Amino acid sequence: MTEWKLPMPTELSEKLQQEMIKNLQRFSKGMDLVYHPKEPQLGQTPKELIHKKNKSSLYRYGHTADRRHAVPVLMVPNLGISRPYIFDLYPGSSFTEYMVQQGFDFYLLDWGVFGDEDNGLTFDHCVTQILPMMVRKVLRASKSRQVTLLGYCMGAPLGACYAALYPEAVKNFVNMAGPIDFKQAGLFTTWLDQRHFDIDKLVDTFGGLPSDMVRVGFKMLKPTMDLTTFTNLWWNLWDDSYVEGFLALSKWANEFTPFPGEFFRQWVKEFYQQNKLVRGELVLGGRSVDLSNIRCPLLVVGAKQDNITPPQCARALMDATASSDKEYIELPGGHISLIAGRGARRSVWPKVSGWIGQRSQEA
Amino acid sequence: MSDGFMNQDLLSMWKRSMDQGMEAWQRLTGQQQAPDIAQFWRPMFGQSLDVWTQILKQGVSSPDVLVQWKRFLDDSVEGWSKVLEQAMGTDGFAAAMGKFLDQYMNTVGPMRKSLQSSNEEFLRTMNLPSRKQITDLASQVVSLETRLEALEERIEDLVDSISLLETFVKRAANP
Repeated sequence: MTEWKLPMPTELSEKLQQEMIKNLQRFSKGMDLVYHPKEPQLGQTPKELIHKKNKSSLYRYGHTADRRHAVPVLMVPNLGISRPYIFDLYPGSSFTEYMVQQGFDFYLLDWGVFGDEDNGLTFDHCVTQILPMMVRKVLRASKSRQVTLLGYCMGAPLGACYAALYPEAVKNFVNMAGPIDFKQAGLFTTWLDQRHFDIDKLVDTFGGLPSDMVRVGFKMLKPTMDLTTFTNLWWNLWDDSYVEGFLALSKWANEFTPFPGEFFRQWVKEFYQQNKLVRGELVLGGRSVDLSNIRCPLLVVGAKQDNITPPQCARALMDATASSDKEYIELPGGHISLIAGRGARRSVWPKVSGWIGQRSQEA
Repeated sequence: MSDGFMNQDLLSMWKRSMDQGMEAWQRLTGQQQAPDIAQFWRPMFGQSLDVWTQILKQGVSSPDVLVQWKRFLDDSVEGWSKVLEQAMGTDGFAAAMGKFLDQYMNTVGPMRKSLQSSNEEFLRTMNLPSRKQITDLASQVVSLETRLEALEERIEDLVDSISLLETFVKRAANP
């Protein structure tokens, strides 16, 4: 009888053994996740509520004793869509914690979760009423005359409009993955085209944009995302630090928030459909928003695989402003990987904090 | 049998099964000229084929079969993702989605309105405030809050001015 002998060199047998151990760990941790789900501890960097206006809150992070830079940093995130705890995910993977460690007096504007009673809120009101008040509060709390505005995603056009209307208060402006030229905003530009998307009917029907619709819109951008996410989870289930990060990010990625109706109407119509910002036709609070009024140092950060704000869409701010000190960097990864994850901590945050730090001495 | 020969054999078997599969589908659909489905799948299959060709060319030099499987899976999903992105980035898709949304709103809109009005009617009968009345009240509270904030800011500015004035006075008194 022929005896089957499998070639089993030492290296192969060791690798098989390792793989079996990993698989056992995957199975056991997978079971643990299913039967004993842990609630991730998010947003643990110490913070202080500086001001609250309706749903919006202004937080100050860290201790002023460690402050090494004269100019405070105000982070303006997106309004609606998702919650801002992505910026303070968990210790060791938190942008706010990192900025505080770098000696910045760091502030975050949490726009809040809006309800039906806020459907009258407009983009106009956010730029000409809420942002100026929040900036005044930052300046008062930090005893400074100017602020570094750091806009992420939709926070960048909000911040850019503010910086164009009130340039005297802005020392530096940073656009992280914020759309500026909406003709180059990828799939959203096509989907929200006025020939196909009746924004007036939508807002008139629902009052605002419900969070479920926001979820569908963003999931459709990359339908295979969930499959990739769960394959990667299975692959890395043996790794505790990966699972910790996954739980935190997964909680954030599945918590969508609604848009106030009038805000969404203005956002889609004047930005996506008419591209008024980059064309210099936007009027807020009765004043024309001219991006060339921005003369302060400018940093634009784009992500190569960003399908929400493709790099060229964010980069457009470089040509629209009159800043003499401006820099554009494009980093690998997607929209979220600029602000969360290991790659962000390694390559994006040091670059951003270094750039701001060099320009944070008060005149 | 050499590894190279075996690999080539596997590849041709795989290709043959694909061709036979396509022919079977053509027969099943009863079409002489089958729609070029391959054009739709080609990016994904092409990518997967490249990966497998590479793996087979290398022979089973690495025992990490799972690593190679994971790479294959990632590449396949990425291929799918690109295909879907291309399909969804067309005007046709946007128009279809717009039409669907429009029909959805045509159905849901009147339902929502009638539900709202019957709810309001019920609440009025029960002598309870309606949702609209509550949201209106909330809006009034917000506008009141805004006015208070404006006053607060003015007071803060005044306090700042007074303390600045005090400093000047003190400096003037004790030069």
